[in-house]
Amino acid sequence: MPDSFFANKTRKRKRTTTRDVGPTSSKKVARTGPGRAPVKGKVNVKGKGRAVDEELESDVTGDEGVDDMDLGAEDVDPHESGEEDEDETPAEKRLRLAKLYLESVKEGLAEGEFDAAEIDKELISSRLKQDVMIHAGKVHLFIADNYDLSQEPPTLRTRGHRFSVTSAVASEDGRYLFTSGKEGSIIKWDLRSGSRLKTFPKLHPGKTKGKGKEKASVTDVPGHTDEVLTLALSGDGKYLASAGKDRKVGVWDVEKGEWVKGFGGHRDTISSIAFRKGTQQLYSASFDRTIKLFDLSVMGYVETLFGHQDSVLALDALRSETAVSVGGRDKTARFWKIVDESQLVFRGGGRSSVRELLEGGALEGLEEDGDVEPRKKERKEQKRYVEGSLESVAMIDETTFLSGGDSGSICLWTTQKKKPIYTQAIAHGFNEVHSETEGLIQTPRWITALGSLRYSDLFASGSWEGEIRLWKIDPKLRSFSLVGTVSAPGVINSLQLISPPKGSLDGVSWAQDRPQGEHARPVAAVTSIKTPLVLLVAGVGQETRLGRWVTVKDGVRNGALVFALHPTLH
Amino acid sequence: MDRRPRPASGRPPASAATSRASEKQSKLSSNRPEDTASEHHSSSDSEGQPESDLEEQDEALEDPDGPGVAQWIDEDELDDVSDENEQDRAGEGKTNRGQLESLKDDLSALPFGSLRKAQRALAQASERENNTRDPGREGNAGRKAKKEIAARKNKHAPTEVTSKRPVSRHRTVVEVHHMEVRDPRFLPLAGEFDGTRFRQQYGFISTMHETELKTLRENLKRARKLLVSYPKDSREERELEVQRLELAVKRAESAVNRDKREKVEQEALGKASREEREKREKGKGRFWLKDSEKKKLLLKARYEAVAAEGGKGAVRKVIEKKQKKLSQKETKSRPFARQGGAGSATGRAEAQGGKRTRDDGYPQSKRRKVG
Repeated sequence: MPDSFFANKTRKRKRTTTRDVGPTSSKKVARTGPGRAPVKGKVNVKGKGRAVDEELESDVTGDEGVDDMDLGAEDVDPHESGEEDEDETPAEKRLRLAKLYLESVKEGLAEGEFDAAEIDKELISSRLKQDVMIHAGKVHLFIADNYDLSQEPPTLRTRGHRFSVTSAVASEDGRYLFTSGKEGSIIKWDLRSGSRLKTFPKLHPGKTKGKGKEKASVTDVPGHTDEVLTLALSGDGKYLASAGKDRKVGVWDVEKGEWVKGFGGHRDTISSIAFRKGTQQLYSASFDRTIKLFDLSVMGYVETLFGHQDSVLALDALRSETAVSVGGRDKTARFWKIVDESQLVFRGGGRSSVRELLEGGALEGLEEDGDVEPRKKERKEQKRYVEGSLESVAMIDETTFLSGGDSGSICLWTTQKKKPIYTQAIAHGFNEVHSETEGLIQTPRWITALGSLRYSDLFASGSWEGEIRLWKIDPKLRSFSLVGTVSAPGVINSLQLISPPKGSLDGVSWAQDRPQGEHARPVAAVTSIKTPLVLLVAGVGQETRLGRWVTVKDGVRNGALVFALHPTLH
Repeated sequence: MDRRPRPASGRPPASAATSRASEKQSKLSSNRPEDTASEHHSSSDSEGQPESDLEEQDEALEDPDGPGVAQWIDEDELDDVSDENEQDRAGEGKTNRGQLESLKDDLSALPFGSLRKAQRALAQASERENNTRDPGREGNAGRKAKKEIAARKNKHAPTEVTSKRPVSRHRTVVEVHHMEVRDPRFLPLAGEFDGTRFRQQYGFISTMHETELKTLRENLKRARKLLVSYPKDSREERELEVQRLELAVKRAESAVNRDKREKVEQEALGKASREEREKREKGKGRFWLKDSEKKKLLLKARYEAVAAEGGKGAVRKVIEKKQKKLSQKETKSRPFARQGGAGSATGRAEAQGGKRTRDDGYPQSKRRKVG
């Protein structure tokens, strides 16, 4: 018997009523009227759901001709309920699938509990709300408060690069760590043991086959021939992408540890690359003011995006087909809508003032435009620092992102407003230089790296202060505040926050939560879904990534630092 | 009409391409300018190019009723052509399967970007087919729809611009504020010059000149008087100052005279043009006032002004002065000086000859009449 769903019945479509969607009233299912195409992706049923979605899509505008439609009055049996019909309407089908989904959710939540019957309806509804937020691409993990940073977290330090580490990325499953250095080599580490697995050294450019004036083709050399400035790992952990001064985007196979392909096309140093989460689409940003898109599933170049007026310094992307990039001295952050072939322009370059209080000389960062009038009693000195360039960017969710500038200010942006919602000025203090003629010159340390835990309210910022600062965004996404700091001497060239799956770092020695004598924290038998273990991966070097403007040599080792942040239970 | 024999490989004439082939061709060509320096798909591109040509050729052959090419063929070549065409038609049926395979190969060789664009265009075309639309718009089905960026709803939202327009390398590092020089003479903002309006609005300048002259004259008088009473050391400075004042007075005088003369001339011209207009209204034909006539008119007006001030005696004096001046100039500019009376008959003759041949603007002997 063919699937009843496709039966071309001559029958009017029933309208959806509230009685059809019974216990799942809390779930925000898009209710479409008859004849309209059901919305894709709103009903995500695991496993079975995927195939079902496609079926729903195919039944778009029912191919009923006017002649076939039964225009007479419907004979409804009042005793019969709609669901028992053999041929289901789309609404009924949705209801059936929703029930299946609820069952699966109940099973999922019941893992840690003993009695499945005691699960509250609220638990289910909150979980469903979270699922909706995940699909809408909004922040749904509010976990920043759960980490106690008063003590030093367990750390893994890796050494192996001759020059500064420009980028350190860990895979999503917490197995591998990749680091790249200014000497052009990429090293693959085992994240659990901390041992070096493989090195991809810098290669010599190679001889030209032609008559000498011809340059060697980009794809000839199976490796990088100059500084590697940036790394990115695909979501499934299959490909590693790397790029740098040799204007090549290199793709490596993670498991085999070998070069797959090199993409030319960029005309200047590539400063940053990012994968679109969950796919194998790669975005690369370069000093030639373009952003190029590549698709690694077919190993091809897709398109180029123009718009920046100055070299693009940083790039970030999330699940949807959008990216955000920051353009250095043109003082703009651009949000690229790739499908629409358009960009939203956000202008930075604001002025931030600092108030120095009389008492302790403690600094207080102010918001821009000086909304707060400084009281004359407290005001000692008011210095103003203008943001001359935007250096780093991190996306929090699909419509919110952060940018860090060279005046030490971290700005929180949303795609609806052209100015930042919140600015934290002088986030990493002042760089003090003693000069004979001028005395003490204080310039704010600029933000060299930003990293955010995806879809959560926790993010980290780094400079050459010697500390990585962890911040928490407030639930309304209107401002953020400092949560704690982690000591990391050197220039922080890259930051990444990941939450590996539950059991991946259980047996790892370096990542164990150190039990302190007095402050012993009860270790939970099962880390709950809400507060996962978070790994903070930082690439640390003696020099800044893109140039040699800042060098910090005392007590600094070039390498990657991985901090395991364990959640505390109250 | 016989078709011109085509080579086995190579580009077919542009007009012979069918709509499908042209679409693909345009996508390929649109890809090419984007990746000028790209090498990574240069190989794929080069592979795709000759194959796509073959594909186009096959498609063109498949559709004999489609748009063809009108080519003039020499009579001698006609015999050769007919044989080749027979061969082509015979071979068509066999190559159908081969065409499919070659099509598949071509599609796989195309760069991914062009395939995506083709997919999008097809999706858009199918969308348009579903929606009801005017039959007149059939032609636009193949063209890619330009995505219009909606204007932002409120001014606090960020601006949205296209991401497909390349940006030039040139950029100003530091913005320097230059003074914008605006000469009101050449600005359209200032409007056209109108003499009467100018005189109305800036007539005060002539009064200023007069007052200036008066004050300068007084200053000069005083300075001359004081020149005597100063001690001897500073006398030179005082003398210099007196000279400067004299020059200034001369300048002021000339300014005042210029103003007067211009006033008189403008009045005369205005009067003449008014009379002309009246005559024209009455029926007189148009004519253009020659420069020479104009000069005469102005000269007359000048003399009349002098007469108005000083009377006929003054006019006579002015005329005499002028004549004297001119004669002095003339004697100076003579090439040979007058020599002794009896001796040089030739000299005199020459001088007289020279005198006779010279053409003067103003006749020396005649007395000019005013009026």
